[in-house]
Amino acid sequence: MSMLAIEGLKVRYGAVEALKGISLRVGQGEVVTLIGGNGAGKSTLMRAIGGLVKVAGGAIRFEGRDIAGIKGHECVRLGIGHSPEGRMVFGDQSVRDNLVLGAYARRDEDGIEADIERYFGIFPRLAERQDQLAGTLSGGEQQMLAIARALMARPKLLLLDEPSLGLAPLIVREVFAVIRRLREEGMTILLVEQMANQALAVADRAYVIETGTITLAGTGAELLRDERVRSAYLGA
Amino acid sequence: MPALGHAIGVAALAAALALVPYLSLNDFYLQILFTIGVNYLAAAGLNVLVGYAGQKSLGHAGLFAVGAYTAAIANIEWGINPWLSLVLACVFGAIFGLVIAMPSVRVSGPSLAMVTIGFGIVVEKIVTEWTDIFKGQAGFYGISPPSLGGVSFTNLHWVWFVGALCIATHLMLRSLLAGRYGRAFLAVQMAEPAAQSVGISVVRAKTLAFVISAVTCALAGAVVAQQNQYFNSDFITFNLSILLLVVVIFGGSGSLYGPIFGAVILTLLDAWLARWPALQHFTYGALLLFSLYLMPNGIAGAVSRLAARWRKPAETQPEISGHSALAAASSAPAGGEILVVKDLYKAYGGIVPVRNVSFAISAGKVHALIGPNGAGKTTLLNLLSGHVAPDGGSIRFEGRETVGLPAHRVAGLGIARTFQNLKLFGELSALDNVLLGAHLHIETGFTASLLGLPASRRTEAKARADALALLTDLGLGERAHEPAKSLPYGLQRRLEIARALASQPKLLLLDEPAAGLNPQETHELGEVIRRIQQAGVTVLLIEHHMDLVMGISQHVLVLDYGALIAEGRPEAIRRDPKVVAAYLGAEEDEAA
Amino acid sequence: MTAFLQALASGLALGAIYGLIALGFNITYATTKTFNFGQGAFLVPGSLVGVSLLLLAAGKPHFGNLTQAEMTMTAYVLATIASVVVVGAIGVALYYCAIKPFVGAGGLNWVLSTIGFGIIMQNTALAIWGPASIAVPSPLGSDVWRIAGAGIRPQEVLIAVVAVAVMVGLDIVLRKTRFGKALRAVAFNPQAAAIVGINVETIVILAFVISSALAGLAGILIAPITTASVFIGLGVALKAFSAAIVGGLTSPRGCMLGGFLLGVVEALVGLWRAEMREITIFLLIIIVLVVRPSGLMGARSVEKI
Repeated sequence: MSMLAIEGLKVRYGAVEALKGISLRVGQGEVVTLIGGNGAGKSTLMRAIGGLVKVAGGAIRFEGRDIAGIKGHECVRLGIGHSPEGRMVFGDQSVRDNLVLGAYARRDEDGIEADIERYFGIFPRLAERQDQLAGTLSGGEQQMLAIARALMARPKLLLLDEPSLGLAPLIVREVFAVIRRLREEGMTILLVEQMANQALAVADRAYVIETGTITLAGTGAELLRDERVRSAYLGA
Repeated sequence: MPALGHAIGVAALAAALALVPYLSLNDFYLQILFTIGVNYLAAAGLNVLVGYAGQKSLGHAGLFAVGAYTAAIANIEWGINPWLSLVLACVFGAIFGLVIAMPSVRVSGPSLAMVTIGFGIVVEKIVTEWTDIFKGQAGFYGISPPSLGGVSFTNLHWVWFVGALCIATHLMLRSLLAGRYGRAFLAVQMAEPAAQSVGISVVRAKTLAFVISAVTCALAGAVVAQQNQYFNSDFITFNLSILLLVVVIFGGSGSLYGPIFGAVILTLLDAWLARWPALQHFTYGALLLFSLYLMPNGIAGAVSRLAARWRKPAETQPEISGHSALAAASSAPAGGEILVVKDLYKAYGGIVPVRNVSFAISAGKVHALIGPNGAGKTTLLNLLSGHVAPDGGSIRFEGRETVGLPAHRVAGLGIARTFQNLKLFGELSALDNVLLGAHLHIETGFTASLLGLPASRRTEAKARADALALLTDLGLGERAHEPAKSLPYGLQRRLEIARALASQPKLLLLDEPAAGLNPQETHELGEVIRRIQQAGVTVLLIEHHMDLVMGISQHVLVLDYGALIAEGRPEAIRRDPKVVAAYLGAEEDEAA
Repeated sequence: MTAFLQALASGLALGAIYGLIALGFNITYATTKTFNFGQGAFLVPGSLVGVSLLLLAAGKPHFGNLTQAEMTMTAYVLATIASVVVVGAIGVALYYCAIKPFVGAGGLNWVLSTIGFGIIMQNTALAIWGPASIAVPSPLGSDVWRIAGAGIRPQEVLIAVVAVAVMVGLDIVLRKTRFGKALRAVAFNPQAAAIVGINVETIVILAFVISSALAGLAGILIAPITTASVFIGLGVALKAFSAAIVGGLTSPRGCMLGGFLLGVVEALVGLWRAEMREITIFLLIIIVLVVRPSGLMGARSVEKI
């Protein structure tokens, strides 16, 4: 059984149909990526899974249960961690407090403290800046913090929304190194990206989305060689 | 309301006023009619401020006081004739309107509420405490009412006089609000950045609305002081400010008829409940609490919703044929550099969306600005249109530095724009949106507009015809009278382009015009952009839709991570490895 | 000099009251961009509920007068707890009636709806307690304390001590506790707060409970100074609102600072010319806002286009 199975998902913003019946699945331990240009509907899909937008039709099954329509804060409790587009770190609180808030749904004080130390190990720059306000971090550091914050909830599924957005190429590489590491640790990840080459390289499977519809699907390696991916971005 | 129906309504009201003496009403009822009139006067101007310009004021009791005390002091202390006192009251009202506008237009939200409350309280305290001049609670006795032919006004005369003032105020505001001033107020309320983008000065529009509201409110105060022949500081309370606002909002702010409903219903309710003071207050509380919830647009809104059910919109076609801005012959000399950007820099905290960008744009061509999401393209566009001020660098448009100019001035130079997340004036018709685009080219004076002079009507009719021609040209003619927000999404996008074109720009900035469009609509958009170019307008567009970009542009600029990484002809850009890497990520990572 | 010290003391006490109420404005404004414009009416049950319970306990009618002997410190503490609990509970009703229908809708409809709620509350109080004011003795007695020659009322000291303790306590709660961090997270970005599992509406309701409870506390603290009546609220709440705006509606510390600043300015101007107090204060506020529209310590907002 897939951990996440989406069937015929539709989302509307006023007059615009942002998702026109999307179906995809993510299996336990898989890294699945959804790639496509700006405005294709990638982030809308993530927001629908994370309970942040109203679903107009279709089903989102997480571990067999339809979660379409439940609220954002309940999604976390079911085991969905979300590193959102634009990072959305709590800029007026310290790096450490951002991580503490990431574990808001948990009650095991010792476990939380241990996890913070663990992620400080993975993201040494966050450890150095743990008492700094998150708003003063660079874009790359904020992205690391957003990922670490999502992981603090000990999710079964991690939603990673455009982690490379607006980052310098060198930092993008660091972000992808982290994703690769999480994959090795067995984390199930749904990754939305514009940087197709990197995303396809880390993904087991991939989908290409264009104007609210899935137009291509395959293994990461297959799509890496597919000319159609390139033309989805830069025109035919 | 159609012109004929409106004329009949006004005539009926005038006739009813003329018939008042035959109803043998006692003074109690005459007083109620008078109070309705006064409440309408005060609320009519406040409605311009609240309902049209979108500025809340919780201190208009202060302006009411300005009018009342001007009338009292002018007559008693300075011995000025009551008629002249009324005029003076309006003048002082206008001056104080300016005074309160100065701090008010600089703030918004709760701070605006605070400034207006503060003004109201300062006035209240001054007239209460400064007894040498304002007589405090003792008040002014024996304020002379105006007289006609040597006969002082009786209560009946007062009803007639206030009725006449109300009708005059209504007609003037109706004429003013139907034209460019009314549109500008609404534009400021609905979307400030978009209002600036068509050349409206937000500060001036808000200030004007404050002054208009101050004048009618002061007039109401002066009339009350004269009719009462007595005025003291007890009239001026915070509760009066609230009452005036409730008349506007309960009646229906933003509707010409709202203050009429509000004044009639609340005055009658007040008179009827006066016997049970406790109930009176409860009623006010409940009105404030629930009426906005049940009727977000007040009584007028609820009534017009009902009326809309059986009234079909009468669409009047203009008699004169208009001239579409898109059909303009090319006037700009092609080839020269119309826009030169040097070392432009903008940072938000640790994030630097535009880092030392330099480029030039030649006139008469279509230029595309592309780059991955988050590269800083929209920020760059906001810098060019003057909506965001850069931290460094220069922007020269036709040789003129635009850095430091506010957005509405940049628009005035001939730079028009659209917005990534549509910023249409949603409640206004498509036609009004385009007319707002032409705001700077509709040259009617304030007085001409207020009095509805023939010259201002002609200008307005010409502008309407032109706007309609442009809409028809772009295939929107059929839907010109529908509210912008009810149009299908693709047409909304196109309407925004029409609005920008109506300002007859030299340079048009388009921020993701194809976002959310289907393939057919995208294709049509390409055709529209080609026609815009043929009309002699230089275009700079941000777009992700690469087929469109490659198909219509002659010059492509690529922004990545806040810096310009490439520019050139579309074919070359497409093969540029740096550009491919920016979009798809570097190839080398594949191996890892 | 003694007059100055005396004025300073009452200014600080009054300022502490403004600061408490202003802090309540900050907490709800941060989380919802709204606050209770009718907060003045919340001071009324604040001062009267607890006192009436004491009166009933003493076998008197609920709108009578308490004697000094009946107002022991224990009685005052119990009355305070009762007031804070009752007014805090009214905050929940306020949220559902006047805030929830309008929040996020933009515009200032919530200003009018909260004023309406306040008017209804004030008139309910009028029906219960009548228009007469009720003298409330201070639990510390009415004898003036002599400090450096200046006569200082013990209730003023009590107000300052309690208010500062509550402010410091809330400051710590907001910075250190799980609830405080969650509240600040909701204030910073409600969507991001939902993403980490915070139930945003629960936090918002709690914010209104705290805000209302603070107004209730202010009501019972100030009652021995102003006497308790249905009409005390409006003026005090307006100045608390001013304090919040001047200090910075978005900054809790700014709100507290604004409260003290306003109280002291008011008392010192009163020393010079009593009738100039309001005029000076509100002119000052208008000037501050023109120079710094977001208040002394408020964060400047950047509008996204």
